[in-house]
Amino acid sequence: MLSLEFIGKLWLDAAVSWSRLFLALLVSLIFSWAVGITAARSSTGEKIVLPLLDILQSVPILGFFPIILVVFIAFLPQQTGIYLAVTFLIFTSMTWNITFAVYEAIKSIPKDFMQLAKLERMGLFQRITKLYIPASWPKVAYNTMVSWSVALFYLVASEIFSLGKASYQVTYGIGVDIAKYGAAQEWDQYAASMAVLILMVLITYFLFLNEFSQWTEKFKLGYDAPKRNRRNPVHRFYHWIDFLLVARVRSMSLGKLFERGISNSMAHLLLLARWTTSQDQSPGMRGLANSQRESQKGRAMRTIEYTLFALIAIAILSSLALSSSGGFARGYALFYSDMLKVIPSFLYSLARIWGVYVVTALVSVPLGIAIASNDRLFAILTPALQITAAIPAPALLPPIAIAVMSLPDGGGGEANAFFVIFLGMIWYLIFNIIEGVRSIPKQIFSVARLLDLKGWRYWRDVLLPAILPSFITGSITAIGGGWNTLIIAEYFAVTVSNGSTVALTQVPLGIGKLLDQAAASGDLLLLGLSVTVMVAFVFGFNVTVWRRLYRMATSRTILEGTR
Amino acid sequence: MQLQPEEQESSKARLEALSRTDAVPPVEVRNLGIEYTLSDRKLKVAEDLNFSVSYDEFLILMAPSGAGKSTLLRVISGLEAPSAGEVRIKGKPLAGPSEYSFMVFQNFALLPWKTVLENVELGLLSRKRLSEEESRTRAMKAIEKVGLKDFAGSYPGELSGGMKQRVGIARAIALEPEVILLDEPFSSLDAVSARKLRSEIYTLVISPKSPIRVAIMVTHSVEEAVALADRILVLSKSPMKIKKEIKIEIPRPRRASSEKFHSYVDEIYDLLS
Repeated sequence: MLSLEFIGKLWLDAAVSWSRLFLALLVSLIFSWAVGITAARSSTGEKIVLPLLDILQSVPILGFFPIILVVFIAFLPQQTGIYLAVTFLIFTSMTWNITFAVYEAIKSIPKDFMQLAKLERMGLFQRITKLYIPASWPKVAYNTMVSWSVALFYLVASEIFSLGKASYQVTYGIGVDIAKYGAAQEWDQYAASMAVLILMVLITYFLFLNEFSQWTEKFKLGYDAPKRNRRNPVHRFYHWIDFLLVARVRSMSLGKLFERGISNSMAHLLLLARWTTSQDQSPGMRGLANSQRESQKGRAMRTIEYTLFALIAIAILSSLALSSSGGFARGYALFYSDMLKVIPSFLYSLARIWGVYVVTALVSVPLGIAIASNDRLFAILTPALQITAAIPAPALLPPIAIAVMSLPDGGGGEANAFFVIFLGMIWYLIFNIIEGVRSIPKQIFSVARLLDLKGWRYWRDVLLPAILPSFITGSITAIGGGWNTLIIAEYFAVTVSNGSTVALTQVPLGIGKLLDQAAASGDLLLLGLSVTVMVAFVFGFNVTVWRRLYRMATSRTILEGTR
Repeated sequence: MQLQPEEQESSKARLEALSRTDAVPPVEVRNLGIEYTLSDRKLKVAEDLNFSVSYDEFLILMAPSGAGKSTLLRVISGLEAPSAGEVRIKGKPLAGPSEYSFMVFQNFALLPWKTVLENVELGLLSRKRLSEEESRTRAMKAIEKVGLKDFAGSYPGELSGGMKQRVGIARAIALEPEVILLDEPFSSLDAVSARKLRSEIYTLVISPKSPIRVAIMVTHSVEEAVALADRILVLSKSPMKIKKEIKIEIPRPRRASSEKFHSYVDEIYDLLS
């Protein structure tokens, strides 16, 4: 039986976790406005900021976490260092798309407003407070929603990750509870922690994120301006209580009340689903969306910039190699031997990710189509899927790890990695496919019926081509999400009571595992090399393959009319 | 308009057809009721609607906007089921899309991943179950008829709105349905293409050589209706009922500047407002 005290502690831990989220959000907002406004208002700023964001958005940030931890702990008192490292990681997962949002919002302020500002002789400060910030609210709010769910993933992942290393351990946090009780197989406590986490997710969504985005509606400029006034946030806050009271006063029948409540919450859940699986939230996709903005810039210019970043990375890595070995020849030898560890691990992880992706796609395409094309199935299953999807995948790690532990050598580690990567991928695919089918214009179905298209012909000529763009979007985001889960999927360790670290599950070889181990031993060079190889590949793949595929898929398959 | 001789011939053929004693009209709408469920309210779109269309007739349905003309056309096509009454095509009550009719859509409804030729071929292969060769020849013929011979290999995304609707029409005439249903076919085109296509549609659809015998069109443009229709049914709103039936007795080709044309237009505007 769980004590009241225990439940209280869980809420306290959740509050600590949420304090990290809100702190990171605050810093993100300040950073985004500063950098976004600079990029939008100065051409030099634009040239530096845009390509930098482009890279930062496309990389699996979680790979950087070990480095961040090592650096923060080196310079700060341990607990403060860890708290700030987690917060910093969350900040890096939140901020890039908000920065882009600010940049875009300011770039798209109608000319009239800019001229007005000139006529009124507004100074820079006045422009910022009276024009730039208000004009960027709506996009900032939307992107905050997106960022928040990414951040949840990182919050839980980083709290779980730190559990393996006694010296890096986060003391308070709901993710810590989840990992701890899960690993100790105390399932009552684990379930209670999960319940608290899910409740916090839902509460934040309804009481903060949703309200926030409603509130920003009034800042929309020009054509985007909403036609009707929204009720103010305080009123909306009491909306549900209000709804119950009104229902009682009007003595609605219980059935009617239930019906209204269901349809109300269905509408909210749909928003929630869009929020948790929005295509913008995956690193790969965020980079893609920006490629269109980037297209005005010359390809040569971009190449120069990327080369510059590559050179900087090489410079940092070589100085690390030199400083940790003292001497050029030995530094080179060290670099070489580390690369011999990094490359095979990376290739293993690459194969692992694509393998899981194939399985995920084979499961989610028929499932997504079945759910989307059957109204009853859609109504019954979507809310259930959405609530499940709202749970950050890392939180499900402990029971999976325990369940596969008994499998014979290596098999457990692979199975664990499979399930965690699978969970990190599937929602992107399923919801994108559902959305894809649901957004096929009615007249396409009409024409298919009039032309008597049935069976395989219907799938080949209508259904599959129609969902191709959504499928590609889903795939890009799923694989981007997959890279992010690696660091916790390939290696899950806990600290046992005597202070030593025990790996519950691990794969034989993998870049995520290598990152974990390098972090545990404080090997900065190995960390840097692993991250660089992973980032270079993921980014390169995005630029060369995904972008082209995405453009190809959308050019010929945009369906006209939506009646 | 240069199409005069052919059109005169066609009206002669039509007169002959009208004098034939076809016992069963090709399209009959009987006691039709259409209901829509909007959240918890039931909305009556149409109630006790009765009309029929005869062979070689171009019928146009007009109603105030939002009345549900397009829904009515979808019911006649068999895509949607009525809540009461029935639609009979050649005497047979409808249960689902009929093999005798096909629709031209306002937004073209072309498959963007298929070329013009493939779009037109699709129905010949599946609905008519013709061989690949036969389908290709017939599709090319239809594409030539609408003047897109050189664009058979293009994708819809590469065509203008007017050309897309020509593909939509080619797809319909290739299937040789006896009944063609036109759902505001010109309303998403620019003014110039709309005018051009409008001047051609009558001969494309109802000509002695064409196997299409009946056209039912929905439009919101009064001038368009008077220029094209043999008969116009002006419908009222919520529920749709026949307000007035107007036979347009102007010989073709029709001039929009004639006095008779204007008096029809004025009459219909009065009925609709």
